[in-house]
Amino acid sequence: MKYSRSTALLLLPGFALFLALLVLPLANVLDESFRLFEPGRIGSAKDAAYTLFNYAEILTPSYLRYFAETFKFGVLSSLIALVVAFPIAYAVARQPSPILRKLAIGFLIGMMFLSTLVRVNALQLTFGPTGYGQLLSGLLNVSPNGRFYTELVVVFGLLHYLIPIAAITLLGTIQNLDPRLIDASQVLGASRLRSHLSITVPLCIPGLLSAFMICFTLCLSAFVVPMILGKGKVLFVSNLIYSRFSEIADYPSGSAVAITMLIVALITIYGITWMVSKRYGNLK
Amino acid sequence: MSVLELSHVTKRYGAFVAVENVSFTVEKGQILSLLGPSGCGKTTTLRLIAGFENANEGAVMFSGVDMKGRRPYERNVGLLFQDYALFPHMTVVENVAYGLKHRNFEKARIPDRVAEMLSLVRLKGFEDRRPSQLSGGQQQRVALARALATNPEVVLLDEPLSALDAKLRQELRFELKAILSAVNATTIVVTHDQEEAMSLGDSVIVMSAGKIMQQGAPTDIYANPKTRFVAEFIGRSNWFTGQLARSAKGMAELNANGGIRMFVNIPDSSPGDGAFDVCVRPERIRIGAANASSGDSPVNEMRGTIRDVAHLGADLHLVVEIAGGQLLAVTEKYFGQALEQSGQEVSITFLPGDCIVVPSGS
Amino acid sequence: MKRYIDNSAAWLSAANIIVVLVFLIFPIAVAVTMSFDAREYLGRFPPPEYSLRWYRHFFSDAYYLTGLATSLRLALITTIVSTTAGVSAAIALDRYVGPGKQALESLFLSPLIVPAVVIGFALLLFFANIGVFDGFTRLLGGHIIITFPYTVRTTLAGLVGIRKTLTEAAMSLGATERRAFWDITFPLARTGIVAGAVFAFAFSMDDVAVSLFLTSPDSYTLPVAMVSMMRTNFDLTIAAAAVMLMIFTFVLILVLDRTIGLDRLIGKGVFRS
Repeated sequence: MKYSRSTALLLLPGFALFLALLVLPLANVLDESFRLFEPGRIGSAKDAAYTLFNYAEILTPSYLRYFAETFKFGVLSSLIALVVAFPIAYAVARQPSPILRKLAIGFLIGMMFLSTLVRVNALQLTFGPTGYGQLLSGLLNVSPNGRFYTELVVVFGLLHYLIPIAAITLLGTIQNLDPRLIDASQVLGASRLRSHLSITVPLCIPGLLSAFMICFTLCLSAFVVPMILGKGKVLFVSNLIYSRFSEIADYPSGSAVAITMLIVALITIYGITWMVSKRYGNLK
Repeated sequence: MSVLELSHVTKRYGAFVAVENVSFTVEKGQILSLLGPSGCGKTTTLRLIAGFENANEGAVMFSGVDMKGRRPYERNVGLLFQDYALFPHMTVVENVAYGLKHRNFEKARIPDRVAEMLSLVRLKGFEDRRPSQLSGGQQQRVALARALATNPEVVLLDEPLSALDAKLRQELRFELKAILSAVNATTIVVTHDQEEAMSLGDSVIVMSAGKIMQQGAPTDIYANPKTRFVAEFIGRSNWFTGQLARSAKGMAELNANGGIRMFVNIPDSSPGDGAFDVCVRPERIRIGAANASSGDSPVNEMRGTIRDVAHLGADLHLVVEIAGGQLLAVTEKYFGQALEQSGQEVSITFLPGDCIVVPSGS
Repeated sequence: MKRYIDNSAAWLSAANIIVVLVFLIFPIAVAVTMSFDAREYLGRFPPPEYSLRWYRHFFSDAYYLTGLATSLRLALITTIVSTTAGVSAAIALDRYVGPGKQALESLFLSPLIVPAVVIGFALLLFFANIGVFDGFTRLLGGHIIITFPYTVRTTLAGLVGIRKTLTEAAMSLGATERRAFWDITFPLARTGIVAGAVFAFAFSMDDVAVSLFLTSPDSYTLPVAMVSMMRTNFDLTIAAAAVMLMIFTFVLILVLDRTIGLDRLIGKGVFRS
């Protein structure tokens, strides 16, 4: 191998960063997650005993609630985002005017890049008490301070960044689709809607699945949206980890939650990726 | 001394032998074509000469100097890539000057040399264009100018015309040959296209499965292929398979499958008996009965039915069905004669001298 | 009948697009309008009068300004470190042929799939254990690891598009491997590298989840400052800051469009995780 030495040298900085800033810290978290926590300390003692207590604790209803809540919001918001984003992605992908197309793509990318804080602040002002909070909650006949309205605003917060991402992901998939298939289907007598339902959507299933995966993992790790828009009523797993750190400095418990969350995220990602390649690998 | 010599070169990738015991020489100013189907080892041979690969056995020698272990930039070759490999972020001038800069060409003379090369390939006025602003033919000429600018010892052309459309290919083939001979370049052309190989090369090497099958002048290879592979790869051919029996001096009779019998010329040195394949080129077959003027040498005459007539401009391509249902390809020149009709019964003839005899299954 | 269904479907799809556009844009418009509110307190939308009061307030508030300065400095250093490491790793990955290439690549992209909160929490623990308490150093570590995969990915995407024959052509014309790299590969990969750097800068400027764990009282980023203000008091300075962040995003999009083109950005699959 002519290049092998210089190749190894080039990989070195990346490896070093990777080891120092990801592998070792995660190993640290794994170790900490099995340590016994004594209240009042910051983190575990150096020689604290090993225990499974931190994991057992996660299985109690008060903890499982966070996971259930994260999942509920994640699945719901991701599904809404996909349904809503698909026609948009389709319209952009088949947009004949290059200028409009470029504008649309620029808009979507801009919306995706938009700082989470900008969204959260904008949604707070729009759906808060000084904005249209009263009006909207009145229309829905719920209390603007009630749980339902808060949950609704959290879903809005998630959707505000999921929709552009879902649209952009689906855009790539739809662009790879031969538009003549729809023409062929219509020549064969199917209506436009029927053609899309029987041709476009099935061919896009791998794309839809990966878009769902992206949306769902983003929801799993959502942090600022529930923290600010949830007003303490809606809390995700991320927020639980943060409160372990900021409120009671129970690092072992936080570690166990973090490890569990990481495993859930990995299972979601690899599960869906595996399913896509196994089932739909032949479509690509 | 030959400008380039390959002696018993073998290249293996694991268990796969890409090039096996290949030897040949190229003289100053000569154009050698390496012809073969894809995967026959011709491109690997080219890469061995350029220095991108190293031979497991044998030697690549430039003017008698063994190039073993020399990197591509330590050899003076000019390489024209199939996809041209023009640097997209450089202008035409920068592309052509690139090799001059790196081969320590006298700096002050670089602009003159670039101008000289561009006028050689007739691209004056395109100096500041980027490759993406040129047509395929123009890109090819820039690539050629770049490859020739440094006065390379050996010029290597990798499928030089394959990326162009058919009409442009004809024009550029002639131009390419003129340019190469203008600079008296010692050239190797690698191609899978027999027309390209035969029209460009002074000499043609046919390769298959890493080995050299035959080397010779284009006309020689076409007229006297030594194996069925070479005969089939170069030009169109009709085949008869059967037992050969020597009948007279320089003459044998073939008992072909399907009950066809014919006379063939064979040299006295050839064994003359046994299983052989016989090839007759389509243009050697004549439609119409034999006339008596051929003297005492026998004429092969068969009855057949015309199955198809295709009019391709100057040529007529006919398909004739003979006894046993075998279909023969026949080519005639078109000069305004009345065309044969499909279904028409005809006689076809060819001379024993038109038959090429090769060992069966070769 | 078919035609009737088709028309309603088309109508529904158009309505969907309009509703989504309104949903995405309207809150932003509200925030922008409110940031120019002339009232001293947070009043109802729309504001009766407009002024630059909250922008002035932002630029006279030491708390925000310190955060902004830290954010800019942090983003700059993060971009440099992360791009350098990412580019060299991508070059190595592009060159390397052999077993484990795929594994190596997914290894370098793996920080993308670890939730940011987990990274923040893990680094917090780790830094405390090895005795690193300086806020800026800790932030830098966190920002480098979350931006590194983006620089690897965009550079790699740029490198993969470069035909191998270009390097071979340079070598046949007398350039050494090193020379060919600097003359050919690097200039052609530049757009990918620039995109990676822009991503790194943008994500560093925007991060909250990792930074929140790693800040110290004297080293905190602008987003961290904004989050803590958002939780404590209702004040339109945040809206003003948000508008400025938005302008920053807009500039970013322009830069990306100029360097690589938005269409290619999507084709390159930069956003897949």
